[in-house]
Amino acid sequence: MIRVSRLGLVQGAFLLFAGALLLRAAWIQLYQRDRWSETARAQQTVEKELPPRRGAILDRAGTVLVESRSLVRLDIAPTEVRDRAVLRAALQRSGVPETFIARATDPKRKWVELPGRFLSTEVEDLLAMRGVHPRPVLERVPPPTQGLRNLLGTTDRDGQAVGGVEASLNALLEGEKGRTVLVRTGRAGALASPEERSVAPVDGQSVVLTIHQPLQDIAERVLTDAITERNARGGDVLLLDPHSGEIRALASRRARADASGATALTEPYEPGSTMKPFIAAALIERGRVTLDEVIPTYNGEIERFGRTIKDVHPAASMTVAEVISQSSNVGIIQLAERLTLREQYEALRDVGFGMVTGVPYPSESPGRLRPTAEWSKQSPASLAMGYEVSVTPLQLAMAYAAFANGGELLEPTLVREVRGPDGAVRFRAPRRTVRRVMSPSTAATMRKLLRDVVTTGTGGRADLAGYGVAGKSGTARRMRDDGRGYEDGAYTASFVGFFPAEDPQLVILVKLDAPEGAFYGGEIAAPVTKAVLQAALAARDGALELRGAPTAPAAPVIARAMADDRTVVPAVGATPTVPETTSQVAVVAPVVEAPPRDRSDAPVVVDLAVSVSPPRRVVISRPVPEVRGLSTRAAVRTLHRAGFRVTIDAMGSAGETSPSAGTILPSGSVVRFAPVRGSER
Amino acid sequence: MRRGLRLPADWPLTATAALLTVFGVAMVYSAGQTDVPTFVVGLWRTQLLWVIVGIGFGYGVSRLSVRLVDAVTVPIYAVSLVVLAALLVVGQGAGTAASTKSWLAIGGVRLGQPSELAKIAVVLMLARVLSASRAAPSSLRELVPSALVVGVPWLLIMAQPDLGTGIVFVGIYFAMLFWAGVSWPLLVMAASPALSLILAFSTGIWGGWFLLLLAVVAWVRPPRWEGVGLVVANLAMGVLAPLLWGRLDPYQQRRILVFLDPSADPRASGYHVIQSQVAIGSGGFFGKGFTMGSQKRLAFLPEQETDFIFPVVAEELGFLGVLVALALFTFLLHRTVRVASRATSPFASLVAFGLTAAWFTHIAVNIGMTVGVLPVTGIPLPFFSYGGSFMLMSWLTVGLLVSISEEGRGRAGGLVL
Repeated sequence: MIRVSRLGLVQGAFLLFAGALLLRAAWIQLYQRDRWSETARAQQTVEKELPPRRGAILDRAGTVLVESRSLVRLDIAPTEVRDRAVLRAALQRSGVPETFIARATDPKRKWVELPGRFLSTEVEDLLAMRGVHPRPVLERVPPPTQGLRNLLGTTDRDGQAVGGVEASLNALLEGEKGRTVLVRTGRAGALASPEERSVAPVDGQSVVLTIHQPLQDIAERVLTDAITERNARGGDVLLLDPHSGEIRALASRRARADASGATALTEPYEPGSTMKPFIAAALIERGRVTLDEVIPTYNGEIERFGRTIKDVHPAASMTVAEVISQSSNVGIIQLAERLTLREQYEALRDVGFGMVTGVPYPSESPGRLRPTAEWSKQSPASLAMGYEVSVTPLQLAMAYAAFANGGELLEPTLVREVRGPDGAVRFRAPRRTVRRVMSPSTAATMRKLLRDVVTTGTGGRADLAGYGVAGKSGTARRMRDDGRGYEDGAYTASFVGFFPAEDPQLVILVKLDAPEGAFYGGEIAAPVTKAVLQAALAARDGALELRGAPTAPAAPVIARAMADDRTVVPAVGATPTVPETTSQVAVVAPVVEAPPRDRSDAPVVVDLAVSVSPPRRVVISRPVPEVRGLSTRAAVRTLHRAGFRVTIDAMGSAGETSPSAGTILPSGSVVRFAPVRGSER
Repeated sequence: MRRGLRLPADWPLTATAALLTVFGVAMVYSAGQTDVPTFVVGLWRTQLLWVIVGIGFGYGVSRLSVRLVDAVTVPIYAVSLVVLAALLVVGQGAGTAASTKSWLAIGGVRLGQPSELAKIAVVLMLARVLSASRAAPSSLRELVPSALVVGVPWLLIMAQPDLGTGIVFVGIYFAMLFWAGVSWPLLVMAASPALSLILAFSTGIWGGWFLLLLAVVAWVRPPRWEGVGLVVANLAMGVLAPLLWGRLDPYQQRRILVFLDPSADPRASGYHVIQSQVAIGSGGFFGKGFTMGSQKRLAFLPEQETDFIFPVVAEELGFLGVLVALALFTFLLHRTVRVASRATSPFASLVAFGLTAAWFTHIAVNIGMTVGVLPVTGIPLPFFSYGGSFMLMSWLTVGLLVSISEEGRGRAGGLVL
């Protein structure tokens, strides 16, 4: 009953079918191979950007003000977890909220992203568990104080600079992104990357500021205290080196919420009497006045174009020196009349008013100095008294620096150095002279004049025993916020000076906005100046680097500083800095070369030879150095040199350390390093 | 020849099956080698255990005489029906067939999928029914008994529901009718209602098919009521089809649509087809190396240890691996048909051919599905796909074929090769 012909048919059908399937396979595997391979590659890999580490911002001594450190976010794949109880305990130790612990240990969930960021050293036990997927993130650690935050700006969540030095030097700080190819699975999560297809990110450059952090700290604290005590709306304290133009401290504070930047650079104000010395300097430079020349001051009242101008300290007549030291309006107006309008304008313009200084800070204000064509008849008198002109604290301090340094207007510097990710110096700020604004002898005369203000005149409360302070106080009515006229009873009290008077090392500007009660600059700003200088002198860490010994014994200085109940003295040892031994050259970290102690389990402890006794034992914390790109041998050597102990971890991300570079760890901590395969030739 | 060294009867068949089994277990092992660890990682050991069990039972069956097999056919078939019916009540889902009731479990321990063994039972029963009369069925009415033999278990299996196994039953039935000598026109007429159902999705194609059917009926001139019934049945199917379509589960509709255009829904049903083809295509000529297939390793390939194990072969061993696998399968089928053609009795011959048809359907539908020429139906690949019952069924088949071959050895049964 079975027909013979059907056998051949069946065999033929088998061959036909096998042939058809084979042809189809050949079509897909041979002809369409590239297309499918590309599809496979596209879905199996994901290209990921590797964020560069944003450069650190350091103070002139190498203290880190802002830096980015590596943290990890943790994702949990509950289905991969072996022992939920162990995971739960570890998560509890790490302070993960209970709701997230419940999710992370719920085997029905596939992927749980834990909130928060962790130091990888803190969650080592978690990282070793199956089902825990770390995701490295870089976090910008904000600067320690509000004043520094104002100056340095911040970065937002995406690491974009917002304001301050962060924004103005963003191009230097940000670095270049790298790329890596991660392998992706069809379910969830990504696996490690094939190393050879990665492009390492180029880390940002570090910026070393001229700011000296201890001094900055003092300036901020003293300013805060003064504002609180005087119930002022705000204030600025600025310290700079008159010889180099380097800004050493810049503290700004406003009660207003909208003013969060470094207002000493962005908010100009009418300076008042602190302007008077520039009129005197212009006349002395031109030989049109001598210091002992007597000017009639009409018992403190003079009329000019229908306006009566009064003095606080009336006198029948004054010498030119007294006009400055007693801050006589009547006197300075008459002196200003000895200058032509153009000369008066140029005298002010030449010391930098009305123009930005060029400091790298966004939205620096140029202030305002109108050209003579826009002047009214009142203007020469107003300008002589420091009205109708607005200046930023930085401009004014730089102008005073010219008195202090022998007559040169310098460009202020905020950035001392730029360093590459390898630590090599890429840029060092030179001293830049804008112009000579007076002869050295005029400058010397002005220094003497300003010293007299402190010894005999309105600035007496700024003086320190031991070191001579020179400077000028200023009290100006405040413009109303809408710019229409002056606010009743609101004043700007200020003091600008330098120190020590004989060989100025530091220009200091103190400004208090609308203090309550007493409002004269000599009365309230001068003591703040004194407090800052005292605290700086008392600080053991060389906040003030003075050349030469004090002209008076140091002890009374301290005694007075300690006795003055208003003075803010940092709670440190009472031994003052010995000026000669303090290095003028700031050393950028690492400060102390730790001796390698490879086999010791204890953290490296270094005896710091400090001039105070007894020597203190200090455990040094330091960042893990970057070893990417180094051979295993060189990487281990680098890590050892930095004072860390090294274990080789073949399972880690090749060429990187764990915790990753930049993490601050105590010396002697164990750092794991994953060698790049084939790197040892 | 000394007994101890005697080669197994039809050793090329046995050897081919053994080679395929080794190949298959290796691929199950590879299927477990993934970057994201899954339960598949240890399945190759279980599979190896089932291979040993399967070969043991296969050897036992191969020692039985065909006549004994004939004798136990009816009880086996009856038991199969009872078990299949019972499954509708106590059956469980598992693995790739999680939503169906195809698993028999006692006390929570899953014993296996009885539908695999039912395939053999149906082949045996069909062979018995078809070989009962001297002449092949020549009318639709004469096809009724055999249709019932297949139809009852088929309905029970479709109720699980298990579309893949159902297709295998249909394949077995028509292949055995064909081998039994049923005339072409009768085959066409018997298949016509089902074909009408399938073709009804396009009115034009169905219309053409219907005219062809009318021509066949006019030429064959079946008994009047048969002819009328046939035409009515086809009309009904052609008209009912759209209604039935509306009653299909959305996932079933999607599967059919995705077969027509795999890119239509790439993340859902089409995902299987696309990922399978990505795996096969990216394998190239030499493949990515044993256990190294990235599609499989990274868990893009679904069901890589069962229904989609062939893409693992293609991805890791390339076109060469596909060539070897297909060559082995083709040779295996060639040998089984040879056994069928040389069998001494119609029963034995039909059994051999029925078993061949079962294998062939599995191989063709499974590979056709993975390379994207047939729709996705959950159907395993003999000797490769992980699954105890299926491995047991495959080696029982080998045993039966060897037994038949043994008795038919040297005699061509009047057939010319």
